[in-house]
Parts: sequence; C-alpha cells; structure tokens
Amino acid sequence: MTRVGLRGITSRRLRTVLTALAIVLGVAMVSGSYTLTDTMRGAADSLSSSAYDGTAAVVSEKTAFDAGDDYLVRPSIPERTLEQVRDVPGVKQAVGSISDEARIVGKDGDVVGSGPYFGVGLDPQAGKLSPFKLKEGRFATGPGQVVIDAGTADREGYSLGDTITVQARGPEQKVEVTGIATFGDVDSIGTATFALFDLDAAQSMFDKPGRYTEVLVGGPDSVRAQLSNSLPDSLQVQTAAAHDRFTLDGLKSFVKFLKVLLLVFGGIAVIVGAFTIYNTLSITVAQRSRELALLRALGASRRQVLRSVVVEALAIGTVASAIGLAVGVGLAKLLNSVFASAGIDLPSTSTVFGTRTIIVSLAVGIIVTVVAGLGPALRATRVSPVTAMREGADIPAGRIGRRAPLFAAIAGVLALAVLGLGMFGPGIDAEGRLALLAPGSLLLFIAVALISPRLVPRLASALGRPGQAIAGAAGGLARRNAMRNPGRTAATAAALMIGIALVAFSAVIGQGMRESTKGALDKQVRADYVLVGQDGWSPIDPGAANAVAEVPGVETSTGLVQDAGRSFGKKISVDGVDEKRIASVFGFDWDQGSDDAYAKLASGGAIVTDRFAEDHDLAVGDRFEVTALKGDKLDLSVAGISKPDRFNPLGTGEVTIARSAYDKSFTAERERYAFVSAESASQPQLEQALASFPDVKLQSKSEFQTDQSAWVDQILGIFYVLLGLAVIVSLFGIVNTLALSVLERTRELGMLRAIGMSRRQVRRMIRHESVVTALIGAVLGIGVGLFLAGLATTALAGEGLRFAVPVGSLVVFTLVAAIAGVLAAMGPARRASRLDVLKALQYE
Amino acid sequence: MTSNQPKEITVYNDSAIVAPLAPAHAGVAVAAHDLTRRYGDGDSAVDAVRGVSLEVPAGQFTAIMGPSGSGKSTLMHLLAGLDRPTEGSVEIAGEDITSMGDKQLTMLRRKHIGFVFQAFNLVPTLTAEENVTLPLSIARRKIDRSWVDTVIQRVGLDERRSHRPAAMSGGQQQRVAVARALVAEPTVLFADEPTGNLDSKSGAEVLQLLRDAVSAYGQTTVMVTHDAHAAATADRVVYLADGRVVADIEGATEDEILETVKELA
Repeated sequence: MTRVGLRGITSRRLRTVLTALAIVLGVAMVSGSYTLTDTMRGAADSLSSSAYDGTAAVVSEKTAFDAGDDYLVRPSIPERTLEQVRDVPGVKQAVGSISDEARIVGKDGDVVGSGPYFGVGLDPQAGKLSPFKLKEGRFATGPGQVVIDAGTADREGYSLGDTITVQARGPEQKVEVTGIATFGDVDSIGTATFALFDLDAAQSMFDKPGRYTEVLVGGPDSVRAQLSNSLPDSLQVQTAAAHDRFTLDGLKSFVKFLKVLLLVFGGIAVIVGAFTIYNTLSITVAQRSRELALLRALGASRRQVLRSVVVEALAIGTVASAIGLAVGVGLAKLLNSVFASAGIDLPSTSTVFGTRTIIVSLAVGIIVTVVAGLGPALRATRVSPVTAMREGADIPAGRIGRRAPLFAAIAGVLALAVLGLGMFGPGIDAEGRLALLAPGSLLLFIAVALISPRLVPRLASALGRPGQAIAGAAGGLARRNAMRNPGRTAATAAALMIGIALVAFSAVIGQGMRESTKGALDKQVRADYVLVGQDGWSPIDPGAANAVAEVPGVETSTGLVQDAGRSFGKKISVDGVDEKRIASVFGFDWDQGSDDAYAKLASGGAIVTDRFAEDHDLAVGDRFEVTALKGDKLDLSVAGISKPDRFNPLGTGEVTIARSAYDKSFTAERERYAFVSAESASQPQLEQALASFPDVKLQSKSEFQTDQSAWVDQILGIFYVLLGLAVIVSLFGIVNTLALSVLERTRELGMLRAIGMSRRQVRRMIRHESVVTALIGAVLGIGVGLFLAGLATTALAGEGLRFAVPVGSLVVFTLVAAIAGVLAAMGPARRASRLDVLKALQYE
Repeated sequence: MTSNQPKEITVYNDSAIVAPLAPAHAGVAVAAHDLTRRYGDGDSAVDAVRGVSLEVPAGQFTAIMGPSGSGKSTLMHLLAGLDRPTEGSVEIAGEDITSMGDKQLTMLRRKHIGFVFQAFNLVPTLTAEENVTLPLSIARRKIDRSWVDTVIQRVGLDERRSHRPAAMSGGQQQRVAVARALVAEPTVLFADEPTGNLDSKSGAEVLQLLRDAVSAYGQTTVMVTHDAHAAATADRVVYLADGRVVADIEGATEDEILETVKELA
C-alpha cells in the first residue's frame, strides 16, 4: 500500500513538483532567515570581540539612569580622571578616548555612508585598547589630520596625503588623510564610517576642552574591581562590551529584528504552502477515488488507504523540506553578498549553519505538509469499494465538509475573540498585541477559507461577467467552470487571499501612517522651512540654524534639541527650545494654559503633554522634577499643558523647557530639527548658508511632510517583496488546480474543439477561469485586509493612527492578481489548447 | 461506385440501386479517395483503414457498419477531420480537408460539421438550451431564436430547456446533443454510436430524430454503428471489415442487413 502512495508521486510528476515547490519556498525562507541572521550574528560577535576584547575596563561618567541606545551622547569626564586611573594598582595601560560623531564628506559633497558616523579621538599609544588597525600611513598626531576607514577610502578614492572634508562640530573643515585603517579585520562596519583624530585635536574639534568621554584600561579582568574600589562614585567602571562605545548592540538588535521579520514572512509562505498542499492532495484523492476504491475492493483497509495518502504527503514534505533547507542556505549566501555589494560590509565569517536551522526547517516543512495532507487522507478513507464499479462516483463530503459553516463560525468567533483581546484587551503591550494579531489573523483566514465555498459561486459569477462580455462563449464557460467546483476554487483562491490580505493590510496601515504624519505635521509645523538630517531623522549640527538665521530675510531660525531625562522614576524625552522664537515656527495646541507659557519657560517653567500631566496628576503651576543623564536635577513648574497630535511624527518629548536651562544640564547638543520662517529669503539663498553643513538638508514644509513619511514607502516596499513570496506560492496552487481541471475535463475539451472551439478560445477559457479564481482571492484578501487594518487602526487610534484606504494601491493589487492569474494559466492553457481532439474525445 | 469498390468481395442486395459515380460537385457532401490509415510503422504497422473510397451525397443518411476492429470508427474520424489519413484525401463540401491546419479545421467544424457522440458530451455547467446554442456562441454567430426554438421543439425538450445535464436522463441528454448538432445546420452530421449508451426506447427516439432531420430538412448524416437495427434507419449501409468496404447497400431492412452480415462472416 505504501508503494501505491509513492508510485502516485512519480506518476504525477508535474503536480508533485508544483506541490513540493510550495513547500520548498516556505522552508527556504525559514532556513535562509536562520542562516543569514546566524551568520550576521556571528559577524557581529566577532566584531564585538575585535572591538572590545583588548580592553579590560572602560571608565566613564556615571549616568543618572540608563538612557538606552536612543541617546548616544554621553557626559564627558575631566582629563585628570586618566591620572586617577593610572594610579590604581593592576592597571597596566590607560588612555583617554573621545567617542563622538564626525561625518566624512565625499567627492560629490554628500556625507559618506548612512551612519553611525564614528568620530574618534584616539591616543596613538592605545594599541590593543583600540580596534583600529592601520592599513596604510600613520595615526593622526595633530590638528588637521585624520585617519579614515578603508571602506570610505576605497569607495571615495581617497588616499594618503589627500585633503578631505569632515564635519565634527560646527561647519565642515579640511583635514589631511594621514592613514587608512580597518576596524578589526573589516574595512568598515556595515553602513558606518569612522574618522580618527589626534586626541588633543579631537578635544577641540568636539568642543570638549580638557575632557574625555572615557578612559580605556588594559590589564587583567580583576582590574575592574580595583578601579571600582579606588575611583570616586561619580565614575562608572564597565567592561568594554557593556559600555559599547561603537553601539554594536544596535547591530545585534538589528540582526535579531531581521530574524523575526524574515521568519514571520517565511511562516506566512509556509502557511500559504499548506493551503496549496491541502488543495492539491484533495483533488488528487478525488481523482484517485476509483483507484482507491479498487484497492479497497481488493481488501485494503481504511487505515491502509489513509497511510498511502499520508505517506505521499510525508514523502513530498520530506524531500521538499530538504531541498528548501539547502535552497535557504543558498538564499542566505545570496542575500549576504547583496548586502556586501551594497557596501554593508560585515566580517567574512563562514556561513553559520546551525543544528537548530536544520531541525526547525525540516520539522516545519514536514509537519505542515503532513497536517495539510491529513484532511484529504481522511477523505480518501471514505471511498466505498463499490465506487470502483461505478462511473464518475464522488466521495461523500466528509464531516468537515458537511459542517464547514459550523467550523467556519467557530473559527470566526475564535478569530474575533483573539483579535479583540489583542487589539482592545487591557494591559497588553504593543508586542503582545502584535503577537495576538498573528494567531487571530490565521484563524480569520481559516474561517474565511471554510466559508468561501459558499461565496465562490456568487463572486465567480460577478467577477466572471466582464470576461464573458469580452470573450463570449469562452468567457462564459470559464465563468461557469470557476463556479463548477466551489470548494476547489475557494481553496485555490484562499491561498492567494492570504498574501493579498497581508499586502492590503500593510498598504492600509501605511497609508494611515502617511496621512497621520502629514496631518500632524500640518498642525505642528508653522515654519516655511525645516532643517533636518540628510536621512530625514539624524540630529543636525546646531550651527546650521544659526547660519541660516543670518541670511537676510529670515525672520526666525531656531532648533529643537532633545535628550533623555528621568521624571517620576520613568525615562522621558526632554525638549529644549528657544522660548522667544519657537512660537512663530512650532505650535503647541493648548490643553491648559496659553501662549503665555512660552515666556514662563525662561524662569524654570515647562510645557508638558496632556498625557504626562494626566499620568502624574499635574496642573498648571504644579512643580515636578526632571533628572538629566549626568545627574543634574531640574526643579520645574508646569507653565502649560499641550495636546499634541497622538501620532507625534516628530517624536517630540513629554517635557519642553527653555534652551538655556537645557544646555546647562543636558548632553545631547545636536538639534532634532530646526524651523525657519523666511518669507522674503529664497530657498537657494538659504541653501547657500548651509553649504558648510553637509549633514543638513533644507526642506519646504510640504517637502518635509512628504519626506517624513518616505520611510513608510520603504517599509512597504520590503513588505511587498517578502509577501510576494507568499503570492508566488499561491500561484503554484492555481497552476496545480488548473492543470488538474484541464486533465479532468479532457473529454469535454475535445468535444468543445469538435464543435468548433478554436485553440485560442480554449486558451482564453482556461485563462479566464484562472483570472476569475485570482480575482476571488484578491477580493476576499482585500476584504480581510481592510477588516484587519480597520481593527488595528481602531486599536491604535489612541496613538493617532488614522484609517485611510489607498484606493490606487488596492486597484493595483487587484490588477497584479489578475496578471498573476494570466501567468498561472499559461502552462495549463497551452496544454489544453494542444490537446489532440480525437484522443481527448476518447479520454476516460 | 463500382470502380471504387474493393475488388475481392462485392455484395449487392437485390433491391440495391448502385449509385452512379458522381462527379465531385455540390451534390456530394463528403467524398473520400483511397483512404488508408496506418498505425505504427515497420513490421508492427497495422492498417485500420485500407484504400477506402466513398461518397456521401447531400441529403443522404449513411450508416457505417462493421464488427469491432473493422475500422468503422477510424473511417468516421478521417471523414470528420478528427484524424489524418496516411494516404488518400477527404473532401467536405468540395474542400480538401486533408491538408488543413488547425485554424482551417476549426472553421470547417464551425461551418460544416456537427457531432453526436456516444457519451453525449454535454457541458455539465450549461443548461439544455445553452448546450444547444453553444456551437453558435463559440462561432460567434448570431443566434436565431425562432430557429433554436424549432430545433429544441423538434427534439422534444421544450419543457427541459433550463435543466442541466445532471438532471436529465441519458435519452434526454442525447436529444440535447442532437439538437446541438442540428442547430448550426452543418453540411454533414457525424454520429458515433449515438445509441450505444441508451436503452432501446431512448435509442429508438434518437434514431427517429436523426431520420426526421434527414427526411424533413435533407440533413446529410453519417452514423457509425454496430447495430443492424440502428443501421436500418439509414438510407444506405456501408459495411466495413478489416478496413475495407465489403458491402454498400441502399434501402435495406434490418433483416436484409443481418443477412448480409451473416453472408460476409
């Protein structure tokens, strides 16, 4: 019996290959995700060890709280700390160091790389305490000298002795390249660049006279304890990895995020693959019903029949998963080389192919295939032996088939319960809500898939009408064919539905983000122009706003600085603004208070958001305390309570204080944005003033509005590509179903040809059926996607996310689905049109 | 016909009138010249049809008879353009179809050929009426409602026009198939064992329909059958054995046909 199942695979080769492909792609995605991210993680670890292993301890200013990765700028320590450290027993070597930001300007005048832009004050004596290795030349020994990373040197064609432009603090300046270095063994880290300066020169360049950001210590590990005991409490002693001055933790969390992201999309592809397998095996079983009945008549037990179908699924699943596993490794290598060629250089560690990757990939592929095959296998056991003797007998609908509406209702109710809990349940954080969205959506997909056989006739009838009008008899027959076996059409369309639903969901959420961004900025920004980092979000040099302020015709040019602070035991963001100027360029909507609040900022006042006020029960005039990173405590009184747009695309802080107070206590000096009102100054004039600030771009308000939501398009682009995989998998399902339908209807096709149907009409008929099936998937998918997006935006309404339907995009998705239908039909249609009329007529 | 007959065995029924060899003109619906159909090649080659020449005059009901393996079905397939002869040629309505490409054959089928199959071959998703008009809509021909009504009434399915095949008996389905073949008024209607899947009563009804179409409208019809009773409905019986025409009788009764069959055996 087992052999019968396996024989079936070889005799239906094309179908088996298409079914297997559905699984191969999903599994490849899973194994590729693991392999790629494991490899990247390995690279990050090796970077981490080459960066930090030579350093036993890092001494820096103790921060009042942990600011996390969001705020890079640490408080500095005085030079004499170095002497204190050197005096501690066990310290073999200690050097001062400055870690800041410096941008290298390329030959085209633009900043090289896309960050982080490491600007380092390096003691040439640092040796092993620093990860930098000279490739050519020498370390900088005085002002006007720089050592750059080999990646930048290579990309920009900079060599020793060249005078290049860098921007540290303030306007850009010219420096001479005295050396080219690597970071450990790599030319550069990812998209980062580094510029190494002489330590003394760095102190003046980064505006830290007589100060370091940290002291690097060499010696045995025990030196940390010694240092902790000997140094004053205001200093903290950490391992270099914990201190993480090159923010490699950021790289690691990116890798982690990438892994989850890729696995989610791999999982989606696997689930779509499961639908495809279920569908194909169902049809196979239906077609084999006579053969199975014959086996039953010859004495095979139900269990043997069950086993023969399960074995078929198991065999397909195993082979496909093994292939998928291998393809995934290839995929990972390919992606890695794509990253590398895009200049995102990571150390070339060998591909990490973990046991976990093998086990998870194989298990996912095999289990999913077998589970998807169980339904059809159970159906096969219900074939009665007498079917063998009868012509065209059908397998009776199974329990699940008969009770589909009941199961659909159960799945639907469960889906709504899970989604409802996820979206509106109290006390669940964003991550928890997202985690519940996945099983909720899956249940919803299953519910819709179960109920869709009842929707298919109507949908097919409606969606097939245009085809009938265009293609006449062929279109009409196609429309009827799509309605002929609603269960099959529904299952085929359901696979596509999943992909389209997720695409539509993303598009709607994306559109909501775009519109929310635009709307919020419309209210907040009163300036004509905004100065912002080249990438749209990096903080800019404070000199830029001042430079623009001097252009004739500029009324106001003022920035907004932001740093981490702590208040009521929680980390918050504190904004610093020029209270005399800010009102004309940046608006607060008052919940309590009025524009008088601005004036009060100068005398220890603060503007707080309504949420902050509510959380801490504050009213205008109440006093509260904010602690800065370096420990300063600010005693503030509420001058006004603002009601910012919940969406807050600018990421403005909970507390806004006067710039003068901010500068005294906070360390982040770069401005998040600067706002410019200048009715009588032209844009070129303003840009001229910014010529020496390559990190800054000037945008009109409307440009800024568009640019601030540009990332949405990038994310959507990535999502579409990843979801495209799921759509491709579902296409295999359509090809499979069509191929089987063509086979089943061979005699009918022969008859149609005999009564005058041309080859073209036959192709058309198959193509239209495919398009109708694809459109059913698209319509169901868009419906489900809109529903999910509506639910999510309702749940996120508190965050200011709006519900907006990108009609154009949805139309495009529908067209893409129709085109996909045409593509899927190509093979089957060709085959149908090439049938020999006579042989087809005699086909049994 | 004499000169075209195979030389070895020629049986004439007493009442048969041998048709004079007609020139290839409009009065001939289907003409076959020296048809041979060979399957396989080399030593294993088998000739299913060997050098058959045949003319079917317009308005005649011709039955092709013969035992299993006699080549009667193959002959019909060749005449209808479903199969290509190894040698010889076939003309339908004066056009040589032997060298036609797929497109021309499609046009030929739309204009000149109607089929009735043993297995009915209706489209299960279409109603009786839609099945009947299918050849017209495939050919994108204007549908003459009154003509369609006439045809449907003639096959006695007026009451069942909106039924689907699954809701009809075999006899009813075959009547739909006959209507489908008649509706386009083909030059020649080919029927391949049209009663093979039917009980005797339904079979008789279908035969009567074919007979009526010939008598009333002059519908040229070629029917393949192994059943003498069915063959007796025809104007003429062409009897095949081993791929050759061994008898060509006109106006024979069932008994006369059976007699001939016995003589040949």
